[in-house]
Amino acid sequence: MKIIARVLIILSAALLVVGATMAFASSASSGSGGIGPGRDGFERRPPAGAAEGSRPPGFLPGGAFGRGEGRGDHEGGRGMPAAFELLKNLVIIAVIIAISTLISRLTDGLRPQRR
Amino acid sequence: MKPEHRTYIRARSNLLIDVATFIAFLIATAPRLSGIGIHEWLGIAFAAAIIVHLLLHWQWIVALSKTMLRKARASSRLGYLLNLALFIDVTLLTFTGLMISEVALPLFGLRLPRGFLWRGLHSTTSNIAVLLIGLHLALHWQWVLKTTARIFGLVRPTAKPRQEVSQ
Ligand code: HEM
Repeated sequence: MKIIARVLIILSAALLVVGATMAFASSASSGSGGIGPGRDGFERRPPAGAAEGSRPPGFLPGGAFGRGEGRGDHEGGRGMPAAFELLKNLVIIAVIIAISTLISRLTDGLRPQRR
Repeated sequence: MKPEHRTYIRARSNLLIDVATFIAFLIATAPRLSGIGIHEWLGIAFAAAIIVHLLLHWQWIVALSKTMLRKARASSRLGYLLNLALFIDVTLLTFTGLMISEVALPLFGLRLPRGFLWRGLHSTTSNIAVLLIGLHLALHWQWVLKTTARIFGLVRPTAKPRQEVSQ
């Protein structure tokens, strides 16, 4: 029972975040005409034949990653670039941990020792 | 069962869940590697794992929420704010993922219009999550190292039993 109540609290907090985002998305879009986010975040489509420049990078029409069905397809297959994405994120996280550990060691060393 | 042993078992299962959650996250950050179907289900599983993670650390959340504005240490306050930002980010990441879903939601007969805003937001929140999860891990790195050392028996048995460092 306690667990269900806690899960409901977590889901309500998540719903609050989603509600605020939806409200923000629709209020931000209410003033903009033409191409741009429409109500509830659904973008008004550019007219047929319009320039492709307004899309976020990596997203093309017609399917995931803009290539057919997009199942693992990127720059010619499942090879390097896809694995590189994962590795890049792992390295970023490792660097953040290393820098934070170094900073905390340095600041601990500077702190006066307690007797 | 001795209290220290219970604490050990709890810490071990916490670590295993956290490692699995982290691996799921990492694979989800590379959808081109996994393919879109696996990406979506892994993302949904990740969101469920976050709920479990929060339930496991409920005492910490409640304790700090109560003392947040009063007597918490600066580092705890920073950790609290970081975790709050991470919760908001992961919520948006999952929500925007569902909004652009091409496999999971259509399976239930739900097809939403393609939202370009949600796609951009999905990508941005994913990048922010990489940074925030890095900071979250850094904040609890000592606990990760200690628990890993205990699991693999790298801590000498003669050492004094330690007070469990809760996450
Ligand atoms: C751990 C959680 C998640 C992470 C880290 C994540 C990350 C990403 C990333 C980095 C991309 C590529 C964006 C780009 O190319 O710019 C992506 C695309 C995508 N994600 Fe997620 N995602 C997560 C959860 C989800 C969930 C829960 C769903 C849906 C149920 C989902 C559905 C999609 C779809 C459909 C795309 C392809 C969009 C397109 O190219 O058309 N994601 N995600």
